[in-house]
Amino acid sequence: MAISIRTNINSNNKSKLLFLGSLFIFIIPILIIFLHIFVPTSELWSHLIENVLFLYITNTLIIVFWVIIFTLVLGVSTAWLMNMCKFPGQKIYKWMLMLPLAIPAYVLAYIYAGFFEPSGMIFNLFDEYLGLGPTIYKTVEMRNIYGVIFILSFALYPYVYLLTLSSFSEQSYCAAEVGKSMGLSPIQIFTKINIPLARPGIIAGLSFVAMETLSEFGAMDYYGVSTFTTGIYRTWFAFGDDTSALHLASILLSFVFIVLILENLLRGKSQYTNPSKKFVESKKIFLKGKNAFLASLWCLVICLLGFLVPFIQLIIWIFETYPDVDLQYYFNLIWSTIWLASISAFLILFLSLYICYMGRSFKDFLTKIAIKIFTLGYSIPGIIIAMGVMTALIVFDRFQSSLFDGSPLFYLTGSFVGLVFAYIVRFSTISIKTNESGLDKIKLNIDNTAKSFGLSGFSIIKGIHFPIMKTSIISALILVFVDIAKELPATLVLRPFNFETLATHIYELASAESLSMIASPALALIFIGLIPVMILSKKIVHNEYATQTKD
Amino acid sequence: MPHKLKIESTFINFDNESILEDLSLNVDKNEIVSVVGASAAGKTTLLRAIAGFENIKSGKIFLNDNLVSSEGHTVQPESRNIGIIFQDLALFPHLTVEENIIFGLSSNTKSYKTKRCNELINLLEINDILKKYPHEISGGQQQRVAIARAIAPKPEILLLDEPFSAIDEEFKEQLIKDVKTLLKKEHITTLIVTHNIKEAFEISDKIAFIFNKKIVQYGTPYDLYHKPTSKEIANFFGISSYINGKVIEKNSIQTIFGIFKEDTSSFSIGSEIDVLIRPDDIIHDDDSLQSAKVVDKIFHGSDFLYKLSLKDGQEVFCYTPSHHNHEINEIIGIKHKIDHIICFNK
Repeated sequence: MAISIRTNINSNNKSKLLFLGSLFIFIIPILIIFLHIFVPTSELWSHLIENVLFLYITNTLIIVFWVIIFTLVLGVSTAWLMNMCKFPGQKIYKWMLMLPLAIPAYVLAYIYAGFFEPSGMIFNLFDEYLGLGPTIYKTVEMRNIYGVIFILSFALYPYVYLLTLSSFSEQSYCAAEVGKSMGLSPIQIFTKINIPLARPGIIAGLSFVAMETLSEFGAMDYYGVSTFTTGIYRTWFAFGDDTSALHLASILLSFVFIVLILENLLRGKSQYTNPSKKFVESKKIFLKGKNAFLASLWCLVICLLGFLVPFIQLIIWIFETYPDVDLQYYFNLIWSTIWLASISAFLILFLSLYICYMGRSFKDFLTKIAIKIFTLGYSIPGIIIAMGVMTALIVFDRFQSSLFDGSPLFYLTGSFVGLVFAYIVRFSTISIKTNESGLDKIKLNIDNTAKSFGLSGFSIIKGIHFPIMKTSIISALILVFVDIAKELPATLVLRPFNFETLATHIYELASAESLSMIASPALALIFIGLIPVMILSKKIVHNEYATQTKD
Repeated sequence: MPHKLKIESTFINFDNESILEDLSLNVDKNEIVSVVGASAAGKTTLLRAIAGFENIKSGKIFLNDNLVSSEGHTVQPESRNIGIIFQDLALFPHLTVEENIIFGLSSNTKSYKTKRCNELINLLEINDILKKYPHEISGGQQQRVAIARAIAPKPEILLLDEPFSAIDEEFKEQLIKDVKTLLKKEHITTLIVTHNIKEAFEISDKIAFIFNKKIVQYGTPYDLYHKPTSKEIANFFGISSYINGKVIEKNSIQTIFGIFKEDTSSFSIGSEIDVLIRPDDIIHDDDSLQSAKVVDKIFHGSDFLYKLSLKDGQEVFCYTPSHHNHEINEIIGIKHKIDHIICFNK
């Protein structure tokens, strides 16, 4: 038998150095933006401060505030109804309420904008039966800040719904029974026990909503509401002032950090997980008559506004526009989206597995903090990452040119390298978190046991880790794939010339005001987005089964 | 005959902190040895060093006369042919019970795998769970599967880290008995790390007691209980009380229970010493002329543990069958049954 002997500690240090170095490369774009807080400003900057900065800040804050309020109401109320009550149709609502996750916010914005226009179903409904089409068109105006708040609330509430639902379902009914024994009424149990216990879940959901709202570009852009993201885009591309754009971006980035810090503070130190191993499933409140009807109606209205109505509108548009669709072009578009998203998803998978394994072997402060900074990527708006990457690439290309007498070997700017790089910075977090939870299941003693049977290195990964982690790896791939397919601002800014994905094509069709034409690419994108929703709903049904069989 | 495991004056550090110092231990073939000590005494570190998961700072570890660990040299665990069972068992969650058991037999033929697996499951009585996954079986069954998996490849030495700590008391005794029978039948040299004295007494041929980073006594379970070499060992391995003694002449010690003959070479004539009294050294006897007052009592079901105050106020413990139910402050008759005495400096 070959005998392996461990004598060298240096190789450990080398692999750690290599790891930290490679992580640093991906942190550069974020650093570039962050450091622009301190960079001297251009002439345009004073103009921006005088005229629009205040508007950007107030609009952004107003939108974030109201979207948080609405998603809180929509998400928590539905999660409570699903978990604590029983009423007809509840099972269907349980997964239907997740469906808006499949529609990117900008697509929802385009659909609702088209609703009240001559091609839209509300316009036609009123026009055909009442002859009031033009009146509707004039009175209902979606393209303003209220429209943006409405769109984002319905596009994002499922995050609060899902995280609150899982917080509720992790609560053992014993906690509620203790409350009962102390004479609390059902409402007091809800406000004093259920809600405080679910607080970490609710706050995680809301901070996610806040971050997504800060990141949103498409909806604001189309509804003509000036916020940070649209301001950055305009300053960069319309005014060509990259310094001021980066400066704006650095301010937006500080807002993101504030949300992250607030989230950490609000979550507090207390442990909210069920401390006893025993778990008793909630006794449901059976709703009857008027109450059942109201609960059902509330869920139905949310499902209608969040998914069904926009979906039906798309189907109507499909029938209207079908003859004009260039099928060949359409399939090419789907193909390039799938191609780009899968290659990036695989690259991200490999990188995140590398990061997870390094995080598992090195537990020192530096490694931990490096991974922590790297995983901030997901909370940073796509447009900011795009600018950071773009700036880094320009610097790199200039450096190359100076090396090779004015003509670089290859231009990174405007190539797929930049685009994929930005995806890695933004979306690795999902993959890392998913694989981390898979890897957490494999205790170090499992490796040690395998070693005692003579296995080592790669054979442990292949024989033990991969089979255990298969599910996490596949879900990480799917989640990243879908997020990349939906990503608009980063793709828009960094894509190579003449390269289109479903997302950018939809954006361009909408910008050209051919809203009904977005139907086919939007439907394709929604179907892609439905994949993770299906997986999620399966998980939720499965969880329910698991808790039922526990006792 | 060479020792199966030989540890020579070994020092082990962990993050620059000294865990074990100048530790030596020999384990012979087919022996079951327990390493016992308080928590954080370095027992698990020792086990991990024997398995090759930890480097040693200095000293030597031999397995089957092959040097496997010394300063700057560690043969990797995968090359040591050891079997190991961790406290958390570390069963492979993606494999069935059967697949777990034959995991270490990958280089053998299919018929041998089946034969070996059948042997072990019959001995450990886990025939009916072969197709189940680890999360579908009880804690005791998981323990049995982990043992079967570890000894299937017939390792040179089997290392167990607190193997019975997660098992319900009611099943523990039977499991320990079954495991001991199996280890003896399979001729497997075994080293067990535990803080549970009862387990160590039941399963081991020998016990090594770690105290202050060293092995301070190594012997049979009987000797560790009845002939402890220090008060720490005496207190760790059983309930102990100490009564005053005085060396009145060579090999003669006077106590409240009379004069005892014992080797006194380590004490000078006339010196005051402590004499160890175990609860089983004192017997309750209503007819005895000697008496003591009940100070405290604990009900154990089959017996009472009485704390008794002797005439001169010294206190001793006494086990008594539980139908002798006496009240606190009651005076009861006792006699001693001390066949040898253990003395310590005051």
